[in-house]
Amino acid sequence: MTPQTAAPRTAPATVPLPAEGTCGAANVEWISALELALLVVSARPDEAATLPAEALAWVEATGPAQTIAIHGAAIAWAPGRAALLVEPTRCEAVRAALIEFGMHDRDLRELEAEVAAGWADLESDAPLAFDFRDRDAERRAGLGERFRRLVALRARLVRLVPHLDRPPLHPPTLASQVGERLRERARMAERAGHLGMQLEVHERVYDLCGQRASEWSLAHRSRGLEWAVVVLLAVETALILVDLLASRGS
Amino acid sequence: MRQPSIDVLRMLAIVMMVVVHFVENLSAWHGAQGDGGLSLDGFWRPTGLAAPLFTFLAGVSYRLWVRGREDRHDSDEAITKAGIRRGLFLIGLGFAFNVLVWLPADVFNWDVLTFIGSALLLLTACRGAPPPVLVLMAVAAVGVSPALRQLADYPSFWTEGFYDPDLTLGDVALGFLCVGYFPVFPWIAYPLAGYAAAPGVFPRPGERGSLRPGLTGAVLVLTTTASVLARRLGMTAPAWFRVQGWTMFPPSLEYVCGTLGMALVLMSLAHQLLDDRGPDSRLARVAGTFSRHSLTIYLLHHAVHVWPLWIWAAWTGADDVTVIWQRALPASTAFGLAVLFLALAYPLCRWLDAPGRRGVEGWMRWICD
Repeated sequence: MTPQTAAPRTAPATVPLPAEGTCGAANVEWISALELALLVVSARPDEAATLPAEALAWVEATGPAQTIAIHGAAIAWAPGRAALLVEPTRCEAVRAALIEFGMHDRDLRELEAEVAAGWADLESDAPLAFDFRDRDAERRAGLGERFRRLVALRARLVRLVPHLDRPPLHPPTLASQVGERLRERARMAERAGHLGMQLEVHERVYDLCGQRASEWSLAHRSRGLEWAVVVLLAVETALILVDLLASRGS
Repeated sequence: MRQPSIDVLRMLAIVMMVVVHFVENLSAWHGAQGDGGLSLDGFWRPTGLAAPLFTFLAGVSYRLWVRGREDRHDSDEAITKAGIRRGLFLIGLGFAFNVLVWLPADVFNWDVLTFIGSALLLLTACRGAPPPVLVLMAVAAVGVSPALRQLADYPSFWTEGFYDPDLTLGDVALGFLCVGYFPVFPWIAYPLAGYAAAPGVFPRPGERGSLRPGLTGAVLVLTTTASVLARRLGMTAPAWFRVQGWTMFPPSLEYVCGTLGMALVLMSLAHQLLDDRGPDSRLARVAGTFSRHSLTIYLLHHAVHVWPLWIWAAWTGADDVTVIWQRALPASTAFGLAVLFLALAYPLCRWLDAPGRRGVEGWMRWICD
């Protein structure tokens, strides 16, 4: 193995490096946009595509790792850490595929987390899809905000899905195969499908909430006019009643 | 959650009310007018503020009570039923109070308890009305009152300087509507205003309050002050603007606008000054004690200073048991007795706070909630 010569980036102090010498002259790169520490190890063409045990242990320190070995390249992936063993001539393309996968995985995880966080709100808002009352008027702003957030989530998912569920490249390259294999291992297409179903439930509830709130708003406006008429009639009735009572008394 | 500002204002109303009633009933009414109206002889005296403040705070408290029930996810039906029960309880208590304290002949004098009970029934019915409608109702109640009094011939009910109706259905109904001590018109304006203003002054956590109630109150106070001063300086108002003077009986336009403005300003100021300090300050604790038992104090203070008048007259064999009413003691002595009563009422209220003991408010909650 020889040191990888890509432009080094500094890993934060919280990412301990593998012990010196255990992985040869490896280089750890910190990709801040993905919160990912990437260990890149250059391999010779005649070497077996197997990550050193120390590098695998380093990746697995943050959680269970997915491992892939394909056409002389080896990858281990865990949340926050990844290790890549590849020939220097193919390193940049495979590294780019790895980073692209990391970006999509990050986006999908964020969407999943945001949808998961919305279930509590959904449960408390669900009754409003059936019945909207005066006391719920103060929640209209919150409902509108959650609906806007939902639309934004759906838009992000719709933009993300073509990257997760795209047809294989022909003729295949090592980088394209690494990307496909990583997406398969991460079950990204299935997860995106499940996410779509969950968003449908949210959309259905908030769509009904919006309808009920709109109906309430219209009724509320006309009710103000009705009340005003009632008040004027009550005043007129009071005048007539007092006049009648006073005249009978006299 | 108790609001120290409401407790302090209610304590203020109780103190004013006790002093006024002791001095009125044991000594003499001040500033009787010959035209059937009773002047308070100086609009700056706070004595005429007690009843408006009480009725205004009834509206505020009702709104906060409804909010509390809604926050506990009580159904609309349960809230309505409890509101009606509370209103009927107060009306019933008011009639019992009239019979027991003011004797059976005055059962239909339409005192403040029967009025607040009626106001709770109306507020329960109007609970869902939009805030502008509540304001319209209050304005309509104030605006139509002079016409109603004119139609009903108000002075004929107040020939002796106090409300004295015939016990006929017509007079009783007129007393309830516009000529009694606290008739629906215009007094309903106070609880309606309190109910409408409460959300602005006491917003829910996380919401912003509104300056509108305080500013409206300030405009009302300034307008009333200008009107009173203009009349005192001899300026004549246009014919279409009939200034009635500052009278509580009947409640003149100036009096209603002025006291309503004072109540709105006092509530806004008290909220700004007191509610951030929390309920643990000494003032908040004392005020909370008086406020929690305001109904008990209201009933008790009448009993302790009015019953002795009747008992003394009956003991001396007088033909009329009210013979020494308003002439039993000098005003200064009556004032001293009022202060003594308040001093003794405080430990009594603390005693009632102990677990297992109930004042009249506790019985109301036990029956109605």
